[in-house]
Amino acid sequence: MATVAEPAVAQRDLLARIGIRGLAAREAAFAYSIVGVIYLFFTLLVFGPLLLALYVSFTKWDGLAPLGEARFVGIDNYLLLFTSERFLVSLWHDFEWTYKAYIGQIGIGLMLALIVINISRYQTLARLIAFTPFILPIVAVSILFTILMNPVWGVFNAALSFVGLPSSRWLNDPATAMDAAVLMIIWKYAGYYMILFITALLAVPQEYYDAAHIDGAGPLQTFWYITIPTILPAFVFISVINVIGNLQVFTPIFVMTQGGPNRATEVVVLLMYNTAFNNFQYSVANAMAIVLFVIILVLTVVQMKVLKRGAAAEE
Amino acid sequence: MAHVEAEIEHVVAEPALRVRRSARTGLRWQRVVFEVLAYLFLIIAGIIMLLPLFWMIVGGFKSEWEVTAVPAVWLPSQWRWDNYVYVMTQSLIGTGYKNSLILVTIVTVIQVVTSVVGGYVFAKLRFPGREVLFIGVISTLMLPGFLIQIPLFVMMAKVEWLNTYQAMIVPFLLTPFGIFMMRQFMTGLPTEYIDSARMDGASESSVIWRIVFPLVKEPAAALAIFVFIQHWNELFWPLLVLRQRDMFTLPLALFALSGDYNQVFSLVLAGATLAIIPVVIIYAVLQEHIIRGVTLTGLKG
Repeated sequence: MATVAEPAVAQRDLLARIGIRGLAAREAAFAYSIVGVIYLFFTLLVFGPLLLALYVSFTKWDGLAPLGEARFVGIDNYLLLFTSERFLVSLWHDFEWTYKAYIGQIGIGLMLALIVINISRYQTLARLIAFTPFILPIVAVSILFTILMNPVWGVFNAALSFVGLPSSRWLNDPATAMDAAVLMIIWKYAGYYMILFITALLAVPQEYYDAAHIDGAGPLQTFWYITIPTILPAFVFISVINVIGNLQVFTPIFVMTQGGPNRATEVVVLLMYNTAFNNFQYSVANAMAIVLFVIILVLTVVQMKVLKRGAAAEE
Repeated sequence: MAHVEAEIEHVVAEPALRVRRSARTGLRWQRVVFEVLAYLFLIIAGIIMLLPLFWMIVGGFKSEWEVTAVPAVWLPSQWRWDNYVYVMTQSLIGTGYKNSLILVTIVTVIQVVTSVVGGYVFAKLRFPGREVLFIGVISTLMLPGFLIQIPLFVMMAKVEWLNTYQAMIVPFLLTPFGIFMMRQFMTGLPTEYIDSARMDGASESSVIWRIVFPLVKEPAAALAIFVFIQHWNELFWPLLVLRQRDMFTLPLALFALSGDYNQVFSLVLAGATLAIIPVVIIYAVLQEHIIRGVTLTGLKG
């Protein structure tokens, strides 16, 4: 601690001068100055934009003219959205993307985790490989999968014909484009969810398993009555971040399909982007953002409630 | 210091991987069947996870007809390093690389520092209103990027910050997530060293620099890796504020490349391979830290 110690005399002088109370005051002063900077930052760059979005969503504004020219229109933008088939369809595409990705990512992630924690060797290697897709830039991966899914010469069709299945048009067919795009996101994130579930599963006390074993429970019973209830809080947490993340999907769709073909993959954030920056209906785009945010909020709260009920049922 | 480090190890380390004992207590032949099936399954899963990457990296070395050949050609007849040289020097990828390296490095360094300072203030300093003010900070965690960034774009346009580095740096100088994560970690640290240093008359900044930073090296590194990877891969915000090609970051450059050279897939694959190199290097060197870090960083997806 030599680095911070000062000569004993100076130290005594300092303590005498400011005293313990002075020390506490100095501590609080420093804290408030930092907290002040943090709040200044958030006011300008978070709360400010948030209020702007909220205000603008009740006006008609193109985002280019001075803000003073924004005309107040009440809830017209919101009414427009809920009567716009295009928006409602994009909302549905968001849900479709989310539930398919959820099932794939969480299902495969949990299954891989259950397998990996029960093998006797190469666990580290398995984690290492599974995690690789997660760290890669999503743009690079999206471009790669677009190439792999080429309907004419893509390797995926070669793989399909290798196992005797008919070839697919993948991203180029409105009927399969969404599934094809979701396939990429499952590939990218399954290993990530595996890592999260491994952490949750390792936190289950060994005694629980031993007790279940002594009572003669089989693997399925053990999983249902021991593992699931114990990891429930972690599961809900993982589930919440999955839904929050997936409902905001933009980049993979933007890169792989641009919302097509035939708007079959047009999700809300993509429509929002095009509405703001290609159609210059900036205020409508902000209303979309707020609607999607409220949906995310509601789904998060619902999942938390389920957790509370599950925890209460335990007792 | 030794026991402090031991305590940090204790806080940071996740439970070591271990084989479930119960899994071993079953009948021996059941165990063997399980292991065989498990490894078989994992090998297939591993191939599925790695084969696309292999295809991408090797594809960057191919001539154009070899990428689009039917039936598929797995290895190039001649390894064309020229593809990589061409993409790096003659396309936007070189520019994107430069911009991304500069911007991502700056954002990472600053955000780690502000997170440590903010985390320290909320974890270790005593002042009236601390809890309420902290709740105010983490309440912004709930706000999704698109909701803030679309209006933020207009603000950037108003102050004429479009196509500038500051538009890519300033909004990320501090994040509620970074502060939250460092605070969670620091709450578990012993306070004696900090208090005694302060009693010795050390200023708050020297307490942070000399005492706090060494104690939080591990989670700070985890946060740094996380921020680096996140910003290296980010497309949405740069897409909004960077419209001039010479300002493009790597993901933007890559996206532009895949549009420009729509027919030249070998070059696109070479560009994509170049884009993954920094994160792959970081991952190769710091594997376990990254995996542990992601579990630690509260799993922000």
